[in-house]
Amino acid sequence: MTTTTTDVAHLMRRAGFGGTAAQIAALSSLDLPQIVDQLLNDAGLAQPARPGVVTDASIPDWERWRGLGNWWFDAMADALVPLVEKTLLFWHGHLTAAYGKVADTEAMWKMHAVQRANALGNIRVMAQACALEPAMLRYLDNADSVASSPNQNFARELLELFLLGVGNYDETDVESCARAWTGYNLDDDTNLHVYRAAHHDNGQKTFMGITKNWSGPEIIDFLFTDPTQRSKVARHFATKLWSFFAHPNPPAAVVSDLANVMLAANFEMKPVLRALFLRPEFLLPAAKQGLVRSPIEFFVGVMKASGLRSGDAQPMQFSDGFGQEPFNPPNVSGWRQNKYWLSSGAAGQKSSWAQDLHWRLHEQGRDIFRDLNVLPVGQAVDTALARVGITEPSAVSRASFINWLTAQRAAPYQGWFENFGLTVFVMLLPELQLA
Amino acid sequence: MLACDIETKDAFALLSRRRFLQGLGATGAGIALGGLTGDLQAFANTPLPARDGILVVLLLGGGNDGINTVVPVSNGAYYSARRNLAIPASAALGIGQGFGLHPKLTYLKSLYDEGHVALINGVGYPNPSLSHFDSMATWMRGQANGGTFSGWLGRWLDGAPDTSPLHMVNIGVNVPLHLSGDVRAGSSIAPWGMSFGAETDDAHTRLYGAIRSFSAAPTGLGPWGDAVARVQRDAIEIGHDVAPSFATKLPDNDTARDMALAARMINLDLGVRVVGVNMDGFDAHRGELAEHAVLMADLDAGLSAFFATLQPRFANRTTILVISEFGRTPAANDSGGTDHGTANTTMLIGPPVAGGLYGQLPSFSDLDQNRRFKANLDFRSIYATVLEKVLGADSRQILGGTYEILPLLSGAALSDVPPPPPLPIVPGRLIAVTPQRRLDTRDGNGSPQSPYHAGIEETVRVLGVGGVPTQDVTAVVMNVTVTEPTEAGFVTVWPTGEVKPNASSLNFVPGQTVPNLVVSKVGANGRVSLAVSDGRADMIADVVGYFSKSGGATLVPMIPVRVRDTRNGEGPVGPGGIINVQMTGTAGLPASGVNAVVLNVTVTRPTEAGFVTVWPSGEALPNASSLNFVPGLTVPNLVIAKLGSNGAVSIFNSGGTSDIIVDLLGWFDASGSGAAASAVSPARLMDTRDTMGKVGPDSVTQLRVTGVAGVPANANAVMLNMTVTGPTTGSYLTVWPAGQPQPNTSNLNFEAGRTVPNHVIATVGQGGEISIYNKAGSTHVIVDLVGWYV
Repeated sequence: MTTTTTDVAHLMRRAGFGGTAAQIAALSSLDLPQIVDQLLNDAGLAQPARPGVVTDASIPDWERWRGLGNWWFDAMADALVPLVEKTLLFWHGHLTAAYGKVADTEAMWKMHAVQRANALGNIRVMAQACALEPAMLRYLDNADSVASSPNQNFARELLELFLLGVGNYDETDVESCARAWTGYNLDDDTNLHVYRAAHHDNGQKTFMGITKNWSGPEIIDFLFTDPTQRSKVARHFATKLWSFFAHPNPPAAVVSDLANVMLAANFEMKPVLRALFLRPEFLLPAAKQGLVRSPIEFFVGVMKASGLRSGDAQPMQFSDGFGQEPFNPPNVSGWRQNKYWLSSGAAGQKSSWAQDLHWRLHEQGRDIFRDLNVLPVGQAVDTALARVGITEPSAVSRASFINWLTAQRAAPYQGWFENFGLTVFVMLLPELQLA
Repeated sequence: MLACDIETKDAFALLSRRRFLQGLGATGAGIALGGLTGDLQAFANTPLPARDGILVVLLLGGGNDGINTVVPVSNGAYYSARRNLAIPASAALGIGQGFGLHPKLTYLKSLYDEGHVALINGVGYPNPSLSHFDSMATWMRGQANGGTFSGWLGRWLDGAPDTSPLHMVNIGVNVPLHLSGDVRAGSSIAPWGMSFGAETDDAHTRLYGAIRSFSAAPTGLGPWGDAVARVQRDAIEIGHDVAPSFATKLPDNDTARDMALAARMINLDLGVRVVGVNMDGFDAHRGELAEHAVLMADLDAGLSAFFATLQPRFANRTTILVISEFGRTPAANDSGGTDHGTANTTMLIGPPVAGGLYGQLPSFSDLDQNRRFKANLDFRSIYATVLEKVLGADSRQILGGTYEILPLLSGAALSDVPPPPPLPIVPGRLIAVTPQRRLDTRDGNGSPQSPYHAGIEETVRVLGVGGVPTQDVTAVVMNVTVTEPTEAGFVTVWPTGEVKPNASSLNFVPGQTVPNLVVSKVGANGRVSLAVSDGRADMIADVVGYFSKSGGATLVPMIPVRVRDTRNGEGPVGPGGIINVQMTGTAGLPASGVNAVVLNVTVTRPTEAGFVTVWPSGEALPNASSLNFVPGLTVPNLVIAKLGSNGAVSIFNSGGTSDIIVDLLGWFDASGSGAAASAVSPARLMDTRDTMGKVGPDSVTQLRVTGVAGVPANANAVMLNMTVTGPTTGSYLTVWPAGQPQPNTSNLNFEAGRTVPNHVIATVGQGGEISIYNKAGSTHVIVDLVGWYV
């Protein structure tokens, strides 16, 4: 039994950040379920320790945040089995907090560590844990939500974005949910979650038609256990996961089937991901051609293939310009997909980054393609493509590449331009922009 | 929480122009190995017509607190509900009628006092959502109900005739939903710079050309791969065009920076009609008093920076619309903030605005079931007003419903002014130039690097580039060549902005390379339009001169005379060979005062495919061609050639050996003794396929050319594009003034079965007619008028 290299490459890009030709060739001797099981079984590797930069007292906090971001970029690029990192990226954009509001790198790391530990674990455990994380309490204003004036921010997003989706609750549910979460606050002295019983609203609250003295965590437990609600939660996550790993707007049958897998597995992630990667639809053109890389995926894909790390690639320096800063989503719903990443402004920033990258490395005699100008055009082109992880370039891209390099080499007095142009050209190849 | 990035629908926004059809139609298109040097001068961004209104949409993301922005200072209920969050009446900037502006809005206050600000209270929609995302999507979509998931201004863009990428821009790296339509989307401008595309040296130009070429054919990577390639090409074009906007420093404050940049975009005069600017951080659940004051100061600084930057010629037609997804709760919460609300205050700002207070502040006591305000004015009424009065659009079609047009804009709407009539036909005198290439679809010069497709109208800028002025030009003279057409068809060239005429400028059959001299009146924005009728074809256009109202030379027709024939002794011209042909002082031409000559250049017995270039002697050989040929075939073409300072022209043969024959048909007199030219949109005078059937052997056909298609009775000569098609045998046509003896020359030479066009300058004879002689066999003849000489 074997799997085509095209299918393996697709799986490795989606379950991770892409593979080398050698890795792809090695896996293609297995059949698809074997490959998927290997990815899932290897996904229980040891968790990295807290990076030192998070608590570095010698630098201002925003530099710690940048350091944390660069650390994560490197962790994603280094990951031997990147399914944890890729799934973590999903959670990062789903149960969100933004540094711009939280303004506390250590709190950001702590929630990241919780999501890292549970990325392939149980969704209900993940939701309960994140709800009480200091970063979440600050970000969605539950930090000081009290019975006398419940703040609806977290309660609303818990229902609208995190677990259920619009249309599955009404304003009474939001108000009751907000009251249920009163008293689940942040202790400003310890910077840890604290339950202030005196500030919890102990009155009767009607949530989803059930009137009682709800607590915050009971709301989450109810949504994961009530037969009606848990189906809605499962469908919500089935839709989100397929959109993230395959393509947006999933077919109805896929949502139903994945939701059923999720319910049967009691919201464990691994069985759902296994079913997702083994769906026939996952290998259709709609899926293979269905996602544009987010800027984070772009950076990690290039770093992983080229061997560059954050010190050279400087992803945090440029991620704002690309439109996606890790640990700083633009709003509580995280980041959009596909068309959101296609804009003339962002394309221009990508070019600026490539130019900057070239000159930064060139000054040290290390520019990515410095060794290619002694190779014939065709060989130089194929080497350059492989070096950024493009194992199966389109005919159009390769022909454009060959034409440009041929013309570039024929132009007088332009030898210096070749390596510079190579970096810019390669980083803008359409293949590199697709997930 | 910020909320200005609502997801656009997950379909492929196929951004503009023919790229859409290109993606569907071209399969396996090869990538031409050429110079890859794109002419960035010829991008599609062109100035707005002078009366078009301009719209800036400033989005306050997160839900702005309208009643703390436009404060009801004499409303006791406001002070009860807001408690310590309320703006004291003494601090507010009073505007009368019980309202005052937030203390930080000092510049806005000055605009209000000048009558340039409309403040509209109580704006919202039925059954309001308290979700940022839902409510923002409702505002961004701007639809009556249902419909597609697209933005209201995006749908306006879908229907806009101007397809340039800069017609609608967002300041930022993404394009928000309200600027994203069903088929097109605005472009985005990164406020920290757009250097991609801005360099102009050869190496960068080559690199840009290569990256732009990703979009020349389907990428093979699916619709998103194609979309990536298109967006990157747009980015290069935009980077080139907006470079002046980043030449000097922008303000440091984000909002002031973005608003100043918005004004600079408009100042570019490259057709920017809608600009999106976005502020964030208005979701004031806690600590609102201090945070909101910072935001109000930023907003005020942004407005000030905008109008300080905007050039006066645009200011009187620019309107700023300020919107937010919802207002805040009437009452303060216990965190020192307010929660998501409903009805809100909307603003229109700018000289076209009829300033004042509009709408109705909702009641603080008659709240909805969620203790929020009840709106009393639908926001789509404001959209409808802006669409109709600023953008001149049909609001019902875009919004999917009928909404009241509000009297928010003063006087006659800018876009109510009817479009200008077609440019008048003005006689012009020829100013010949060294041939210069304006278009070559084979290498991306002046166009994407891909062939023209049937059914798609393209435009090429001919004024204001390469020494052709923007003023006083009445018509342009081009040598147009079609190469590698996939099907039989024809090219039509006409003035941009006028209706595409039923006429051909050049006809071809599959695989043929065909040149022709084309004289075209210049249309809107200094452009001419081109289209192919069938299949796909690469297109080359070289400008060889133009007709001007000021200066220039006039035509003196001659009895044709042969001035060079390499078959007579000297032998064919070799590859790369150049011959010089003296004009002044010979063949009846005066020794001076000759600006340009009209030649019929014929290549015969070429051994290889190639081209000849005719250019002024003594100048560098230009990258242009006068006539293209393939081995063995005889090809003539009319050439208008500027003379070198020595009174001669040079003729270059690109490949193989070719015999070259040069006939002199007339000259352009610098002293103005001859006839001035008037060019018009092409008009068909004769088509034997429709009426009389093929002309027969040894036949003469009379054709009336004055008093038809606007040609005056006193015209000395007419400019025609004549085409033969379907000839049964090799033959030639001769055109001469009716009533005169038939001369021993030819205007079109052709072989059996071929389609051959040529430009003809025909002297008018008796009865305003010309005579057309066909030597042998029978053939269809098509005659299109493109202008006349008086």
